[in-house]
Amino acid sequence: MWRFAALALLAPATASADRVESEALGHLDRGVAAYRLADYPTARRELDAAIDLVPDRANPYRWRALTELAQHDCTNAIIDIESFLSRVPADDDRIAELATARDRCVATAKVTLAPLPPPPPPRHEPALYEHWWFWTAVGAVALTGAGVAYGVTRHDETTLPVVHCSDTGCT
Amino acid sequence: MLLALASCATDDPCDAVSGTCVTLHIASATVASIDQLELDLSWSDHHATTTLQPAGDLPLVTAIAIDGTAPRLAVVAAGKLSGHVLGTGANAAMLPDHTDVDLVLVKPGACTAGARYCGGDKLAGMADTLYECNAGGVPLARGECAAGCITMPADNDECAAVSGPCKENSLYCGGDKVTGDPQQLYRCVGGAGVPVMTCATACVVNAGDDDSCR
Repeated sequence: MWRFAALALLAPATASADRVESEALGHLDRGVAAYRLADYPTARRELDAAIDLVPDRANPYRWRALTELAQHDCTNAIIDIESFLSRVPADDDRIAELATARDRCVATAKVTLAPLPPPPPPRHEPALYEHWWFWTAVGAVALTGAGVAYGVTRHDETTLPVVHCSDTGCT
Repeated sequence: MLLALASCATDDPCDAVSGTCVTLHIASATVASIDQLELDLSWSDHHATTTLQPAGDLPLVTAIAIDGTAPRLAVVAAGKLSGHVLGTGANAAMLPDHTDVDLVLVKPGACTAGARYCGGDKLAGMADTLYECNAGGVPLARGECAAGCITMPADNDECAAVSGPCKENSLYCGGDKVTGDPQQLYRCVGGAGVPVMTCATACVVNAGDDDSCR
């Protein structure tokens, strides 16, 4: 008799857990879809919601880490990568991808931790980089480089025939 | 402006196409060249696969022209060299605005041939779509899951039911009031779906009537 009573007590809890799981899955799906469309703010919002609902699950941390990496937010990405790694078995296929990304992030962080420059002497001629036009020129060169690289990359693409799709299939 | 000029200089294969067209850019950090590009394409309730035979190295560009309109085109690709899959990737275009898609080929996941997985779970694909693992090529879409795709740790993944309960003895596609494979027809028995048959091309949801194979 007591078993039935216990089951009766457990049933609402199980239904509630299923609802939470289902809601979390919805957030995860929407987060992943937004990530794939490069809509990173939406992805992050949805994945935040998924993690709030099921903080013990690994996959939302993985997707949020990937989103943060796409946003060049290494600080939070490293935290989420560690959260993911601590929740999956050692032979999980996805570990290598995120461990590599984490190492890259850590390396990047080290580069940015350059020692502070020594204080300037009391009187001196302005250094090259102190001229207003220096950073303008650096920006222009960087922009040109990015533009050329983008153009060259795109221009290097080998063009394949167009695929035509209709109700009967694609050819 | 330079960026704009650089991109203007690119030949877009969609320029030669009237109607719905998505430009697909295929690149990879790990795969240098392929001799076959298998594509699995899903739009509206249609699904098709096709193979292109690139003669050069990556990156590649192609265009997908679709008859009529669709809210979304989902693409999964497998790059092969001498019959071996070197990389797979997936992405989707929300139409009509999003008509330029980047697809990055990465090392394929370790899925079991013939088993079904949600996209991103051991194979490349969209997270809201169920796929069949195809060891020799591109993952094959079984169908989009309207209520989301459920990852099952020790079994085939499946589409969640849109709503429930199902009506006793009625027929449903997986994901429509019964969880399951969207390309499989189920009979509702005791509130759950019992497989009846696998549809050769697609399972069609018929509002107010039994679902059916097309």
